[in-house]
Amino acid sequence: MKNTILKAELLSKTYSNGSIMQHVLKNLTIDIKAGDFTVIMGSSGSGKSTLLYALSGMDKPTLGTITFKGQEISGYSNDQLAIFRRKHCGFVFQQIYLNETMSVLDNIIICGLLVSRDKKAIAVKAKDMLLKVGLTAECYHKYPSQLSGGEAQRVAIVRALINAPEIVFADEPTGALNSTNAINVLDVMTDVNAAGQSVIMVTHDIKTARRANRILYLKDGVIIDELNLGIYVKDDPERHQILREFLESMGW
Amino acid sequence: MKIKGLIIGFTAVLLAIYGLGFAYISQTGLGAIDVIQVNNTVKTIEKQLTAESEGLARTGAMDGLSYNLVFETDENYNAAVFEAIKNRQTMVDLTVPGLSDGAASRGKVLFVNPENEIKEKLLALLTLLVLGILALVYVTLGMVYVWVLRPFAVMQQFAGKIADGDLEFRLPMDRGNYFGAFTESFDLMREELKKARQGEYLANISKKELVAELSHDIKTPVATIKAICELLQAKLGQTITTQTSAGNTAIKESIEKIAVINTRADTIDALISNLFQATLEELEMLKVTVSEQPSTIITRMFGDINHYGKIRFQNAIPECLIRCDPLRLSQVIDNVISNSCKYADTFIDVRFCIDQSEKFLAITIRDYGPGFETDEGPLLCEKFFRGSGETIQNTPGSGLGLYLARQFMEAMAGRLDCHNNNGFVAELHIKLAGTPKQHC
Amino acid sequence: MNIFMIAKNNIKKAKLATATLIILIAMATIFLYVGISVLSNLDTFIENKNIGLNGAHFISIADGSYDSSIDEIYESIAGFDYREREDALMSLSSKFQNVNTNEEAYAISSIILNLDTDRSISKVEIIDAAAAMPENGVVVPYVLKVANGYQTGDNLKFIVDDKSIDLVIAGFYEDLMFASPSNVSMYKLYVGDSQFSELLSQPAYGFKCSYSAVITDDLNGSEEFESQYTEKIKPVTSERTGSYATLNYETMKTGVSIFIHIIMAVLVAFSIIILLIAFIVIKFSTTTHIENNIKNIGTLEAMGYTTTQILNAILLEYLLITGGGYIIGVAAAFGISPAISNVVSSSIGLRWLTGINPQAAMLSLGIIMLSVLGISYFSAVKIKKITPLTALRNGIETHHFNKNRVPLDNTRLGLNTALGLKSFFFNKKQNIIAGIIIMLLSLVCVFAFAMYYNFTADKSAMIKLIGLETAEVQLRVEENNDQLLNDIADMSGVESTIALDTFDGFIAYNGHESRAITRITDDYRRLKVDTCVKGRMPVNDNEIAITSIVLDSMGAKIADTVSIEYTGVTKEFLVVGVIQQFNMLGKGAAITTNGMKKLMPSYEAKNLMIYLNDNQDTDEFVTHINNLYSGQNIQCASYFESIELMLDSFESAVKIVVTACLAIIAVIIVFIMFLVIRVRLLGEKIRLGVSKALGFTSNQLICQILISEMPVIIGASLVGAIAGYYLSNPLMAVMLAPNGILNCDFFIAPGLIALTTIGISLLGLGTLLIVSGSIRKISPWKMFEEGGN
Repeated sequence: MKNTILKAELLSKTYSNGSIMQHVLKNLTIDIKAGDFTVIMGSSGSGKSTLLYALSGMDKPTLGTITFKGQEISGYSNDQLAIFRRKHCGFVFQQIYLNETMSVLDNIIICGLLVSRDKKAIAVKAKDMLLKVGLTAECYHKYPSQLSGGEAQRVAIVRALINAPEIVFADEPTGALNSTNAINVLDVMTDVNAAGQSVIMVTHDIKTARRANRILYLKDGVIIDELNLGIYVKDDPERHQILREFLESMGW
Repeated sequence: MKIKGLIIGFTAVLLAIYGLGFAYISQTGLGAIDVIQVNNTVKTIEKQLTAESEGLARTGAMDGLSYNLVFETDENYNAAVFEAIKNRQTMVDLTVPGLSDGAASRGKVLFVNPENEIKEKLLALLTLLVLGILALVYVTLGMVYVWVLRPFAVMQQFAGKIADGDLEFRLPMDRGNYFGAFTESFDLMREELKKARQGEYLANISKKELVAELSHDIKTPVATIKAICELLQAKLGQTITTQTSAGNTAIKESIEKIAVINTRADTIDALISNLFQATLEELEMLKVTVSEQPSTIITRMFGDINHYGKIRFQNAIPECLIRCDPLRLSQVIDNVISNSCKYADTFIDVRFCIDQSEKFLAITIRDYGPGFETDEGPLLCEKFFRGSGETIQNTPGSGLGLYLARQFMEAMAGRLDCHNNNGFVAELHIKLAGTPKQHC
Repeated sequence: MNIFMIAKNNIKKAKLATATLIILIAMATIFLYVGISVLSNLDTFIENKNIGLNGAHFISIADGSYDSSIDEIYESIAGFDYREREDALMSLSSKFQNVNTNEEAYAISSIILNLDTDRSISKVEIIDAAAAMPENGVVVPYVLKVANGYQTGDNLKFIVDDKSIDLVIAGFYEDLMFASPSNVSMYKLYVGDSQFSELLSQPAYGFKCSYSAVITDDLNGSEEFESQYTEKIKPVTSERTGSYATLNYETMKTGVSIFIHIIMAVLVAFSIIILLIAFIVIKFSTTTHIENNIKNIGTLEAMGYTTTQILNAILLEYLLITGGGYIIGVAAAFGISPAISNVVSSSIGLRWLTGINPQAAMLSLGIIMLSVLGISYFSAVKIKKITPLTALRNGIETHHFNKNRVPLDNTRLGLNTALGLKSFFFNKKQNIIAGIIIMLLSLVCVFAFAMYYNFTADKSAMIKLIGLETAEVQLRVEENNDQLLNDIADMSGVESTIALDTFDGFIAYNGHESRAITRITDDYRRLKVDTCVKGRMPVNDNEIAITSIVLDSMGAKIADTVSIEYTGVTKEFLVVGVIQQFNMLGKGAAITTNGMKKLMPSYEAKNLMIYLNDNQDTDEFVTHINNLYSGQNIQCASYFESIELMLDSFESAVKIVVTACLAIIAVIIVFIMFLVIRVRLLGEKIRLGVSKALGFTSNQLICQILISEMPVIIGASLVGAIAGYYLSNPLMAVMLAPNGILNCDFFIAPGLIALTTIGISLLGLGTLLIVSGSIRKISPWKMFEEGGN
């Protein structure tokens, strides 16, 4: 039995614009188990990203509680949340968001320095990790604008992983990539998960969703159903079929 | 309170005007004569005196100062000097240089007080003061308009609205209103009218309900009639084949008559159904609009009616999103709490609880009063039902509170349960938001 | 460490703004440091110098016949310690010419002492001493070296009327009392023993007098000492002759430092203006930084940086910039320290040594750091409220739904003009900031020009401030001789004459007493320089006009009655006017001749101011008079020339300050325009790329930028120049207020407004053209690529 690492109870997020209130998340209750590869799916506007950001402490929920390893984080101040994020969370964004004026290595080191003070050790670790995601020494001192989208996203993944977070949050990491690059990035994410880190990913791409062992389907701010797929096996047609049927039943 | 501010403001402005006037007088020196001019004039005269000695004009003006000359040799010298003193005139010794120091006084220069100037300055000051006070008066009148006359206009509008039957129009009660109490009584009047209207409305509703019930009651005998008719038709139809022709005709006639009765009963049934339907639709007027709301609004609802501090919260309300009509929900809470207040008058304990599996937020409201008669339990939420206990009978009430509460709760896909447990216990079950639609 | 990395990256990202800030802060540092170090050290410097030389606290120059009574007076004054007396030669109509520097002969009275006399008071320490003292060697004041460029070995011609002696400069000495001709228009010279006796033997060069220097117990009681002395000497010397001059330490010290105080105050004020500009730049660049970097800030926050850390990074960025600018500034300040030394030395006449001044350095660092950090904190603190999500999602909302001010469909303007005006309105905030900066600079520019003009070209306003008459020649007679005076008035070449005397008066009001050099003349309307600022000058015998310094010190005002005591007689006078003057530290008064006669019935005018016709040569006239009346006891000397000489000593200092100000203004304007346009070009890259792609030529786009920026530059510089036109005099008066100046009358040519506006506009136009020229080089595709990332 896997341990619950992240837990949300009766989570609600409301955006109010004057007197008009828009409830994006409604009384969501979910458990994320350690080591799970969770994918959140749903049509656009269903609250996928909002859920991801609320769970990760990037945004505060309007109502409800989020607990990380038994510690309630929903009441944290902005600075406490930042400290929580730097220790336990890694982020990968669709828009990649690398700092354009820093070299690849610096982009990673700047995050590594949040936890460790040993710049050299971080650099060694970063180089090692870059190598693992298939980026060689020649790109260390390149600037993000000199990289392809897939390479940049892999750098971003390394940046997210540099502090060895328990959970990696990814918001459509393959959304802006072509299919070859997307597969590369997904392979990296799968490896990350296989190494024991939990991954929570938002996507609306079925190929991406196939990697997950748990799929949550969100509609109108509510998880209407979930599918447990088991550990990812490459080129498993049955898996794809099950997933497609599930999504079709959800009105995908 | 507002009056105080007005008085203080008025005083302050008057004081400011006074201060300005005071400063003006002391600064322009209404009475003071320009010493430098006086000195210059005297010196000039002295020079002329040395040069011409005789034949000097006795009066003159210089630098805007008028003067008279008197010499010690004049016959009426002392008279002129004393006259000048009487008139508070400025006078300066005329000394002639050349003669030995000190006692060279030859006479005096008497300066005519520059009355015109004083007059001008006084006029200016007066104008200033009058303008200031005028401004003050206008400002005050403006305030009176804003605070007194305009509320009247508002009240007029209000009266018009009431005359038009718009009882929802609240009289705006701002802090600056002098007629706070006055307008409040007007508002009370409106409330009373509204209540009367409400009563009328409820009476109307109960009439409608009576109709609905009657129609329902009528439907049963009509259905019996129809059933009997059909039975008779069937039975008589069977006898036709076995009987003689003469008997057959009589039976056939009977069957025709029964058919007529049956069709007429059908007509009555249709009519009653229509009537029932129409009344039911009219009853729909107590509309419930369900929306998704944060549970925290419930705390506020309890707060609004917790006039005597009798309500004790056993735990904090769990934060979640509920599906409710805030207005109706507050009416439900209001009804339940006011029942407890009326009939039990003990502390009221409130406990919140989330039922995750059923997707309910349960609110348990309990008092420690006598509760209700056990056998009356099922009737509690019936309309017009009032308990048989002595206290209940002696307390005025309509018997509609819990009925409406249940109606509302059910309209919000929730539930209202009542039972006795050391007192009266009401359980509100409010649906959580985000429950998939098909589960509702 | 990590914050440092972010800060470094921010700096790298905004190179231009960083450079601008560093330069601004460096400039502010230079001015602030120099201003503070000079201002704070001046007093102790002068004091130490005087202690080192055992400088006299009080000096009196008198006729030798009063020696014994003067000694008695000294002894009678409390605080008297000891005195030294020596013989001296006093020459009132002396003239000097340095043959080696090709200067023209100029008139200044002089007192010549014997270098070989032993003295313990005001010891002569010779600077740049000649290897061997020549026979005709002379030791001259140090100010001549720094202000006039005299050198040891130069040939100095000492001329009195038509006789002259060649002297050789054998070195320079420092003495506060005779430090600068701006303070005491008299040179004190030291010559060798034999030369001294030779001069004494020739009465044509001057008369022998008795020079005594006094040391008192209390250095700060010297002014009091002098006033007691003057009071007691009056009954002794008959008819105000015999005591020629008295000088005291305090007055001299204030006197020599006034001008340098003003210059340093201008420097500090200027540094504050530069700091203000730096603040505007900081505010501006912080806001743009946050707006442009909102995604990066969001990412950093997502990675776990707290907003406090990001804010600290921004603060660290400015800390580094400030530190850099400060170090450059201090280094530059040391670099220009010879120039500073020269300015200070030439204005105080003492050898100023600029060393490292840690207190001033720390103080200016503190002022600059605190203000820069404060302003950057307040302009960046808003990022504390930004959550990572809002930063990543939308950034700070930057939608502009401004009114469409120049609708293209119904405008009659040309397309370029219309588009230019559109962006002019669109960049309102930037334009306002640039406008304010240019306005300030334009104001300072006009002020600097006005200072320059009035100190160098047309000195009449300065002379009016000083409060001296502009008569070319001054004639002193020992006893009144109406005939002689009338004769002179009738001479050819004489435009007019006026008898103008002064005496040291004691004015009392309500128990408060104050000393004032009181002028006496018949008719003040005949004076060429009107020093009256309020009320009028005295006309009647019981009227007086007094400077505001004296009035304030007694607590009196116009229309009050004060009393003057003179040789035991006390008379009352009515204050009818307020006058202002720099001269005599602003302690002055004016009464009429008849008024004086009330105090001293036997009074007769003994000093005549002679105004010459334009074509009359002053020296010729002086020589002529001296020859004509050689038998009589009169002294005739050129007067105004010595005042001009004193003003000339300011000229170089003012020149340096004004040139520096103008250069800095130019640099700042160029940088600001550079910054504004670069930011605009970066921000509008996409728009410009689209425009180019749509078929606009580079020239059209440059033209649009010009149209959107030039109104700001022209408008702001015009407003600033007009403000300068009206504000320069009040500003100057405020700066001089401690010296009793109530209003200034500097001439500011209206043409200066146009000139400043045109100059600044041209400068701005040039910068704009150069910066916006980069549009040409960029292809539309490249603009897209870089801008759209």
